[in-house]
Amino acid sequence: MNKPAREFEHAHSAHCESGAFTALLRHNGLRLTESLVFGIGSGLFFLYFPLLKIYGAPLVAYRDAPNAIMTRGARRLGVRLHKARFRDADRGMRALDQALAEGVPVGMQTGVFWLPYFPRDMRFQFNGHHVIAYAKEAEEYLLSDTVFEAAVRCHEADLRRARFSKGPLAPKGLLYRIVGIDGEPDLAAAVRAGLKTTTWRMLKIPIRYMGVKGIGTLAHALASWPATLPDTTARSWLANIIRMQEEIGTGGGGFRYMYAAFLDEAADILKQPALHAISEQFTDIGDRWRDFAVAGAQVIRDNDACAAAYAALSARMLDCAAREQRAFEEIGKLLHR
Amino acid sequence: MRIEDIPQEPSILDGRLRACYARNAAGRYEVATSKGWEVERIANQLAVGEVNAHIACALAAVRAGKASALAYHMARAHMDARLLAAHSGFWVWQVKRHMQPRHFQRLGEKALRRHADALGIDLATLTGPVPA
Repeated sequence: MNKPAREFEHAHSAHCESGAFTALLRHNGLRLTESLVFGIGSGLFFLYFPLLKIYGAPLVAYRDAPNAIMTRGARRLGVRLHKARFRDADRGMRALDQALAEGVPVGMQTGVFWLPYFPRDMRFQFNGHHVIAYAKEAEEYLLSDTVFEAAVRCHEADLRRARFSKGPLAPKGLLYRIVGIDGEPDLAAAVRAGLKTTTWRMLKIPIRYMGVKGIGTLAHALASWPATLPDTTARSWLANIIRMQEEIGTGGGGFRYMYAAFLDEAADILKQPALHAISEQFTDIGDRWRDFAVAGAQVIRDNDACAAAYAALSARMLDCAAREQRAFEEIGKLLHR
Repeated sequence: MRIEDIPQEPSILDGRLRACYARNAAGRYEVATSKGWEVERIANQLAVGEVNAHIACALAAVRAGKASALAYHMARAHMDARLLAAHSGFWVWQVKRHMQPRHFQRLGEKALRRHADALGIDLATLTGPVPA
C-alpha cells in the first residue's frame, strides 16, 4: 500500500496542517479532500485572547490550536500516528534522516521565520507551521509544503533551525508519520463527530473569548480601540485580525469557505441535504468576513482613526457572529435528529 | 466566493500562488489559486513596516552607542529579549545586559557564538560593524 517516499504526490492546499495530514493520508492509500479532513478534525474555531500578545497584537485565531486537526482527524479516521519530539536537535535530525532512508515521508512542525523558501514578507516568528519531508539529496531536503503550488528544497541547517525554533508553540522537532490505518474508515461517524465538536466549541464553551462569543468579544473590543488605544496601535491590531483571517493560509474568509466545502461533502456523506443549505450560509459568512477585511484595509490605508469607522467594522463582525451562531444552531439541530 | 471572483492582484507572495476555496460553475467547491489580494498586502505591509521601523530604531541606537550590535541583529530576527533568551539559552536579564555596548564588548567567543547561532547568523556578522 505504501508508495516509496520519492514518489510523494505534492498537492496545493489552503492550510498547512490539514494539507500536510491529507497528503500523508493519500500517500498511505486514503484519498480524502483537504476540506473533509479539516472538518473531520474540527479545524474551524475562533479565539480572541487579549492577554497573549503576538508581535504586540492580541492573539486572534480563526481555527483550532496547532496539531488539533491532525490529532482529532487521526482518531476519527482510525489512523495510527507516530509522533516524536526531541530535546536534542542532532537526534531529531538523525531521526528524520532515518525515516527518509526507510522511504517514509514524515510531517514536521516548523517555525516559518527560518524557512528561506517563504516569500520574504511572510516570514514571521510563528512556530506552528507544518511541512512534509519526503527525500534528501546531499544536504538538501525535498519538502512538500502544501501551501505552495510545488515542492520546495530546504538546506539542512535551515530546516534544523526551523524544527528547533524556540518561543511560543516551540515545535521541539516534532516529527509525525502514519504507521497504519485500521481498515476502511467510517466516514459518516467521523464527519458527525467533527461537526459535533465544532458546533459544541463554537456555541457552548462558557468562556467569552472562544467560539461565537469570542467573535462578539473581539467586535466590542474593536469598537473601543479608537478611544482606548493610540491610533497606530489600533491600526496595527486591526491589521493583525485581517492577517490572521487571510494571510496565513485559510483558504479565504478565515477558513469559512473551506468549512462550506466540508459541509457540502458532509451533506452527501450523511445524506442530509439540509447541510447543503448550511454550506450556502457559510459561503455567505465567508463573503462577509472578506467584506470586513476589505473595509478594514480601507481604514488602515486611509489612516482613518475615527470611532465611527471602527464602529462600522465592529458591526460587520457582530453580523458574522450572529450568522455563525444561527448556522451552528442549525447544524446542532440536524445532529440531534 | 466564485472562482472568477478570486482576487488576482499583485501582493506579498513573490510570484507564488495561494490556494483558495471557491465555487465553480456547477456550484461545487474546488481549490483554485490566487496571485494575491490587495487587502492582505495592505495588512501585511503595515506589519512588515512595523518590524522595519523597529530595526531602523535599533540600528540608530547602535550607531549612537546606546545599544550593542546584538540589539540590531535581534530586531532583524524579529526577536525580543525573551525570544532570544529562549533560543540562546541565556536568561532574559543576561540578554538585556548583552544589549548594552559595554557588556557586549566583554563577551567571550563562546557566548557570542551562542547568540550568533540563535540568531541564524555567523559570528563575524554579529561582531562586525552594523551597516552604516
